Amino acid sequence: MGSYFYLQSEQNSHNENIINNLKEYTERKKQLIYVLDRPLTDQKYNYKYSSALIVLSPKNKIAIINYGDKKDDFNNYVEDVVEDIGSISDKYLYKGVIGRTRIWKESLLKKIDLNVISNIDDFFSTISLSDPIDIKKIDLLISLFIGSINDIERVKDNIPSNNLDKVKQKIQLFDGDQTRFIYEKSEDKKIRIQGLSGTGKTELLLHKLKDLYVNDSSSKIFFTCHNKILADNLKKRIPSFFNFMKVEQQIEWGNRLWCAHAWGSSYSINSGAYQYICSYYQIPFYRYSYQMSFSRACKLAIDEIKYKFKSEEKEYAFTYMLIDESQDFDETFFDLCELVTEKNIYLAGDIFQSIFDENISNTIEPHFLLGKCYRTDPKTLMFAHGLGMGLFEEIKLRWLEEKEWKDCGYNVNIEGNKYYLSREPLRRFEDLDDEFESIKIVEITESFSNTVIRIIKEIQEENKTVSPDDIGIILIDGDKEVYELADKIELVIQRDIGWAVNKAYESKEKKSGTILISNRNNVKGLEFPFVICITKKINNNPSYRNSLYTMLTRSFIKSFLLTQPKSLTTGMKSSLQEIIDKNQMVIQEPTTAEKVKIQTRFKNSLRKLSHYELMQKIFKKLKVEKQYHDKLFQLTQQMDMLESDEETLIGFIRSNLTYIKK
Amino acid sequence: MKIFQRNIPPFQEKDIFSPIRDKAGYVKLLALSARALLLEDNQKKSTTSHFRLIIDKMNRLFFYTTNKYFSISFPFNVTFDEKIKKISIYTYSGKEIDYKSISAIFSILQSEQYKINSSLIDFYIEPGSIDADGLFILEEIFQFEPSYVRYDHDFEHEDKKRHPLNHLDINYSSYGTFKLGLNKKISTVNFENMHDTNKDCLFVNER
Repeated sequence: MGSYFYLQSEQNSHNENIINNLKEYTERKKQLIYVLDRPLTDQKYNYKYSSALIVLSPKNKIAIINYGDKKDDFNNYVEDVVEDIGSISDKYLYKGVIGRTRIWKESLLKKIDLNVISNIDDFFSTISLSDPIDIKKIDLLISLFIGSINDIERVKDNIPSNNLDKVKQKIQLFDGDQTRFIYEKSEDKKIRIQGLSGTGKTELLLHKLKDLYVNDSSSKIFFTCHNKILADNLKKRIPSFFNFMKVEQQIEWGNRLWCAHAWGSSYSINSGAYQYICSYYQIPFYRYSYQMSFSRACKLAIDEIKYKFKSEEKEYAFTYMLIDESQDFDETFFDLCELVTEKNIYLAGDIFQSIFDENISNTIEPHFLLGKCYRTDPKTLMFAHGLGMGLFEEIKLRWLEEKEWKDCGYNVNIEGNKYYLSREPLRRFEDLDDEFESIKIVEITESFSNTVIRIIKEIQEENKTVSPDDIGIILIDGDKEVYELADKIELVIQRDIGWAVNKAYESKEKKSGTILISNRNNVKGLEFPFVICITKKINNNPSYRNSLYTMLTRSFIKSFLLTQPKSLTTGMKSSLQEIIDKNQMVIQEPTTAEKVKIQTRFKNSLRKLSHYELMQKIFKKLKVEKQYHDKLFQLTQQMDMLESDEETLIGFIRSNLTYIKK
Repeated sequence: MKIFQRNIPPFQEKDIFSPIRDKAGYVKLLALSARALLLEDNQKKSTTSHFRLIIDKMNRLFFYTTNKYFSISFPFNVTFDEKIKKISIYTYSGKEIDYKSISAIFSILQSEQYKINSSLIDFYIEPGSIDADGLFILEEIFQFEPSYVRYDHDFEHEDKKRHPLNHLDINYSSYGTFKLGLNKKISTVNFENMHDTNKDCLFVNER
């Protein structure tokens, strides 16, 4: 059904026509429309009257369409809905901004009989709004209907003037796909949701969690992911999210709700999902070792449980499980979860965590595919994909087939051997000017640190309300020099801008009131209005390219790519211009022979050897005697060659070996 | 004798002059100073505070701000390449103290793990994203003697002979620190001379 349209109402012969017309209008205008029969928030509102539709759409009044014949009942229904929205607005502290129901009911709501609607375009012109204040109030009212609650402190009641505030204060609404994920019941036990990073997966899981926790009050829920730091982070987010969503129930940690990484340690039964399952069913718990992968541990647990509890007598450890970053697991963990969970398992995964993942379309078809990346402006995302995959270069590093492009949210138009790739614009950025630039290449003419200062001053000039927290500086190169550069940048920022600096690779956290500087390893999950990415030159290492892509998409207003002159090819620059001017990338499809080459190179890079493994391989190949291994290994470390490829290392070892042997 | 001097810009004063309370505080100050030595001295403007590294028979850092001087040991080898104007710093066992390892040191000392249990053992068991270089350097630094001496000229807290207007604080821990009263202000030159084992030492006249 796509991301623009959401329907929650029984379709019948009376309303079928109007619903289809609305759907058609949505597709034609690419306009977000929700058709409901009741507010969705908190899922507790019910009404006797059922011959009405609530039509919600940004920039338009709330339209409540009556297709029944009982006028009084309809009027009562409208009164009830308004009263309920009033109470929701009170609960989430919206009242101060949208005002009393008595007032907005008059100006922002229209009751219409179905038979007076003859033409859908005319219908929309009768309810359209033009006053920016009204438009803002409607967005807020829609968010109350669909439960896409915004922090009223962030949204504020004014109409912002600069780009930064426009995007920061933009009211976020779930799109059709997201709303369906939260409210639709599914037949399947395992429910998969997939999307690129920035499509709001974790946020949706939190909404789902809240919904399950509140509406199924005896449920036991385990929220997990592979990575321990991420799990800790999620665990901190849950209470603040629950507070924000005004959940009245206490969080019963370790009794009704768990949030921990998947494995856990033998010290505490609540330290991990697998650990809890083992102790719940009193089966052996295995720790990680070279012989024991997580997959194997899960497999053993499944066998043990099945053996110990033959069919009926087994109780379930959990009612629901939610798994974030599901791409980090293989199926055995999900099978184990399925075995011990009574109702549903929700899996949220990135369609490709790395743009160098293999066969992205071969993964199991998800129930919900989030095509829209809400964090980043589509132009920035396109350029980042193109640069990351080497699409703008003679020899491409990665190629996706048509379906894969579509799964990543692209509109694909193929003419001959040219692919025209484009993305839908995003609501988040609709208030910005058309000339607004979301991505900029800066070829330095002075030092990197001075250029950074110049850019920060530029940002300050354009956005008076900018604070240190709004900017992230990311050093993408993998060598040692980034640490020197970071320290130099820190010094000049403190001296010339007067802001405190937080180096994420030292603090491992985001600190408020500071500007963040990071290497490429410590920005997971972070986003900033402005990102300054620094790289000396573009190289072909896949992990570098992947970082380049992920780092450029960390911004939600503008990304700056700082590099030395001549490191970007003309192809890269002209492709960026094409993206900016025409909102599209035009990419020449590789020939079959080229595709084979891309595949092979790609597979080689997948078999990623650690520096140590690579050195061992080379020693074997060159028949280097064991007594020299240590020395040579240390030499490569000292020479900062930990990321060098096989060819370079072979050359290095060959030329040094002669001296070492003397 | 080698002497290196760096100005301390106002925004770094708080970090550098906040009193040392424990070994980790000493290490942090060493790391901050090493970083300032490595960075070119681009704080050309004169500042109220500065520090000097003096390497001779002694190997010490001297920090100066208004009415307060202090000194700690700097147990590293420092070389200066005249041609490329570049300083290199090594521990006595030969590990390089560079920008990367300095950050690694901070990342360990600032981590939750270290705050909960101020031992390095957990980092060996579960390295996480910690840089091993930092770990080895920390092991070495933790063996060193901080050799902390501070000169105070403190009107506010003056209390006859318990807290004389001019005094030296020797050591930083509350259980090991003590004061030596001075009859008058000490000059920066004399403060350095008194630590210099190649020069005459300071005499205490018993009260």
